[in-house]
Amino acid sequence: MGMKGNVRPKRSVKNVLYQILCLAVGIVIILPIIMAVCISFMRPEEILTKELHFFPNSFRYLENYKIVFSQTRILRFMFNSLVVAFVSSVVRVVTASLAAFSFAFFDYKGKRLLFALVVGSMIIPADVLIVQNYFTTAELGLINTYLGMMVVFFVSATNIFMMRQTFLSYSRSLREAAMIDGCGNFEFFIRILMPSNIPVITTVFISSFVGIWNTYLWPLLVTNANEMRTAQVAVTMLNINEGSSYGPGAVMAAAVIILIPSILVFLLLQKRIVGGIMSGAVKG
Amino acid sequence: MKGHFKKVSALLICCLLSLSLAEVTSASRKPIEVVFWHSTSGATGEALESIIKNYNEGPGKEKNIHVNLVYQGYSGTDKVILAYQTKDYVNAPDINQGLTSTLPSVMDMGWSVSAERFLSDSRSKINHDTFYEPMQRAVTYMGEMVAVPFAMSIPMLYYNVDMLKEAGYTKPPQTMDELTEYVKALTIKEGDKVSRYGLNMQVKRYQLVQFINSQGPVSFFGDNEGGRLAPMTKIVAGEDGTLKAFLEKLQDLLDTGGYKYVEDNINEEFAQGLSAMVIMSSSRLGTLDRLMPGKYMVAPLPKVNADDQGGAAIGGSCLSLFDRGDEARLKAAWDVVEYVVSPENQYIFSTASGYIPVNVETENMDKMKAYYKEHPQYKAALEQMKASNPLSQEPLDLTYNEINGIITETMLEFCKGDLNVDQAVEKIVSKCNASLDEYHEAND
Amino acid sequence: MNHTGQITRVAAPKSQVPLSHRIFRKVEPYLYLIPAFLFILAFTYYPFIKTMGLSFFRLNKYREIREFVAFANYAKVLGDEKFIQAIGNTLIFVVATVPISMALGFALALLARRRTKSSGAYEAMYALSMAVSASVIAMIFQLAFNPSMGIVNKLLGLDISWLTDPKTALLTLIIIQIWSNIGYNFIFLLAALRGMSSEVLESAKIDGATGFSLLGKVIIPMVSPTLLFLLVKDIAYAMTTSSFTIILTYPVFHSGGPNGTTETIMSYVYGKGIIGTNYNAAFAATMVGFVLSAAMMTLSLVLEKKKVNYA
Repeated sequence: MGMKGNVRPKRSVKNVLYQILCLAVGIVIILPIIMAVCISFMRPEEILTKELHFFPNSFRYLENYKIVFSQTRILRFMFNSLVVAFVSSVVRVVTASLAAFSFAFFDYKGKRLLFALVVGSMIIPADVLIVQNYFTTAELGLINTYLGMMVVFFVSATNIFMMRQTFLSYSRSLREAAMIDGCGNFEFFIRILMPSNIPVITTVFISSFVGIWNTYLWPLLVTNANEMRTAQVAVTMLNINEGSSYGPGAVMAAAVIILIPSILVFLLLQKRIVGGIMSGAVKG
Repeated sequence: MKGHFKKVSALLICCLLSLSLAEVTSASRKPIEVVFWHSTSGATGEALESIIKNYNEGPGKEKNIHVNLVYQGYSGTDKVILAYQTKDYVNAPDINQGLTSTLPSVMDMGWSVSAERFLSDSRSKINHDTFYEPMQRAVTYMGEMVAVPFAMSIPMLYYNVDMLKEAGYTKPPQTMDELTEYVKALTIKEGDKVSRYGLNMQVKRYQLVQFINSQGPVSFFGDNEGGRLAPMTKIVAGEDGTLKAFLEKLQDLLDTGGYKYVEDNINEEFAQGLSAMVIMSSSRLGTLDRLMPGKYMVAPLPKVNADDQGGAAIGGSCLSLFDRGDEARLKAAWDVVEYVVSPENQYIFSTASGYIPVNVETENMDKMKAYYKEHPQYKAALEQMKASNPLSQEPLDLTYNEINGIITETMLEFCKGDLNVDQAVEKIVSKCNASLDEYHEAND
Repeated sequence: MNHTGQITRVAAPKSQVPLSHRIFRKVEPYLYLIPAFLFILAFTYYPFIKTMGLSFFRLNKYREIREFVAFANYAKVLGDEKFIQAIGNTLIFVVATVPISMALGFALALLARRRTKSSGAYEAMYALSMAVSASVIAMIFQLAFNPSMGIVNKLLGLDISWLTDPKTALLTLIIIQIWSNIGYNFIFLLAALRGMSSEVLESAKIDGATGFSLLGKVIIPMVSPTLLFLLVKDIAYAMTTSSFTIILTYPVFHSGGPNGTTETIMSYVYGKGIIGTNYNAAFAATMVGFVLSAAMMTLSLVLEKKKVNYA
């Protein structure tokens, strides 16, 4: 029989209150998103009115969602975004961790300069590069291909930097112990370093995925087929001021639909961001 | 008997062989692909898609042409220019929908084909007169029609019918002076705060050039007839007094205290009764029909001076053609264009989108007449265009985006009272001229 | 290690290590850099250096070279008061958004550090701003900040034209930007906090450190690598941002906001280059912006030496 000790109730009241606080703060933080969801269920005349109006009259008004599915091929667009975001994120994790490994665990000539180059690329604004990258992509024959859509996303200096920080915090003695055991560098990388840094890898993956999932311009620029459009294009297609526009309701519905996979990815991988006790720890 | 049988079977085999040969050869005759880039979505996009679908399944099938319709957002023209810079014929379109203001940029590209070539060809199904005169002129550059009108609209005065009635008016204002009077009567104030504006309109380039074109018999914003005879080099609206005349009338409006000179969400605010009148493009008719059906009416743009005859200018987007090195393709593209601007298809397009039909025959169709009876506002837009002087056109100012910024900023300062009329004129003229000078310095 | 747990490896004399092995050892770290640098050089530095080179020429609207003009483009751009204003705005933007977004992200990470049954829910909520695209965020806030019908004015009983009044436009963008940054900062700091060694924390607590001193003397130093990363990233982003200006103020003002108060360096570049096809101004402005950003980055990396603790 389980014994419910009398110590329990006190702690769990505090725990419950703590959780309620955290949840309340969470709701405040995501108020703008709640607002978007509410708007997606509103009739056009409810959205911008003189009266104070936060919740829709009825959550059963699905017209906006119907418009999204009938006016845009949003499912196909999301599929394209999925392919591009997923593959690019995986490649990013690989390129970033390899580079960070080099910066964190080796000493060699030019390391500081090379790292400065990486950090330097963080301040080179992407917008200015788009046109030239378009030309490069065209010369490589990658226009209208998935690879063409992904190729500019394969490396992120930000991710290299982040992983370098984490690797630098990795315990030196654990590393030395592995070397003494006869572990080669690459073996160390694959079998020890990466597995014990799952939280950071996961975080890097999630942030990459979400960022690329939401890109609009580059995929639009390098493809000329309706079937290759990405998710954000659906938002643009509905956000028209002229002609017969559908209003903000439909745009918000599209935005909510596009948001769902990002949330799913996050929830799926959330456990891995926990952070093990092992990373960086030294026994004794 | 046997010999007969042999002959018949030989004949049968021959027939079968020739049939299958025909199959093979017809299957290997791939249709000519016409790539059509556009930026329409919503009901307008749907209409275009259905028109093209009908083409592909009908005339396209007969002529062995297939149209590939691609949505490009508003970057279509930019993408054509990008493709041109790399001479990327593979990734270029045959037909592109672009704004008329981009025509000088488009025609500067070597591979652009002027529509004039086909319009003056007697074999073509359409010619200049297929289109309304103002529309012909809207796509005219350097003396010829370089593109084909597609999605066109005209600015109008929208007014709330009930509000005007309550204030004792039976018809809408026709001049700026009358507009000022109406605004005074229609504005409602609660203490210091205005709860209902008589008029809501932000003056940017679109609005400003309209009020200039419409003056006199016709006026131009810039030289070379607004940049249509030859590239524009300077602003003339300052020298000929039209800019000043408009600003003086605007000042009167501002003095009433009931004129809202910034736009936040102009459609919704008008629908909610926060403004009694607005001035917007006729392309907003669809949106207002959804927000406030039957509660509003439209009228022509108010005249700056009572004796002005210029009228408002039509504007919007047009279809441009490109030569990708295949003459058959170019001809096929023209066939598609002819189809799209046919009276029947213009009926479909116009009623779905709210744009003015470009084919002069469309308004004579019975179903179009019926449509106009039910939607008098759309008829009013058509009539206003017909009543305008065809020379009254949107200017082809080469740096129109930057000029838009200059005008928007200066007009805000003017409306706030930071600049007086003469200062505003001076600022607009000098800055726009500087912008054009910089352009010519870099591009000539 | 042998069965008694002692280290018994003897280093081999150099002559016995094969040459190929030695060369590999030297080249190895560079090999790991190749994948990343391949793309960085091709898609970031190559176009950038081209842009830098082009900034010394007069270009036409197709970005074709007309003639060599040395520093003429720079002189023009630095003499443009709108550009100077843009620089000022960008610096204000950095100073206002970076510390606050980091502090808020950190506070949330501290709050959510302990795992509870509902962790999944509120962790997702705190990180969610990261998942929404800039254009959607802009639309939501634009509706909220509408002067007559938006929720902000209605709740606060105000009549401010948030996005169109020169006095409040930049502030509004700052608010929007801070909200957008929270998710990203939170999630990385959460991972960092959860990755802290529990032994070090325990021994610090035993030593008597609690509350704020625990925070200042132990926690912050332990997550300082992540803090540095976020600082550098946030500064880089703020120095090169233009999204909200372009989405929220360009359609309305066709320039950088009311009286140019929301123009950032990159939105100026966008306005000149993409919208105005004036690549002379655009490229020169980009380079000036780059130099400024580089200066700021160097400053923040100096912090690395002084303040950051790696285990």
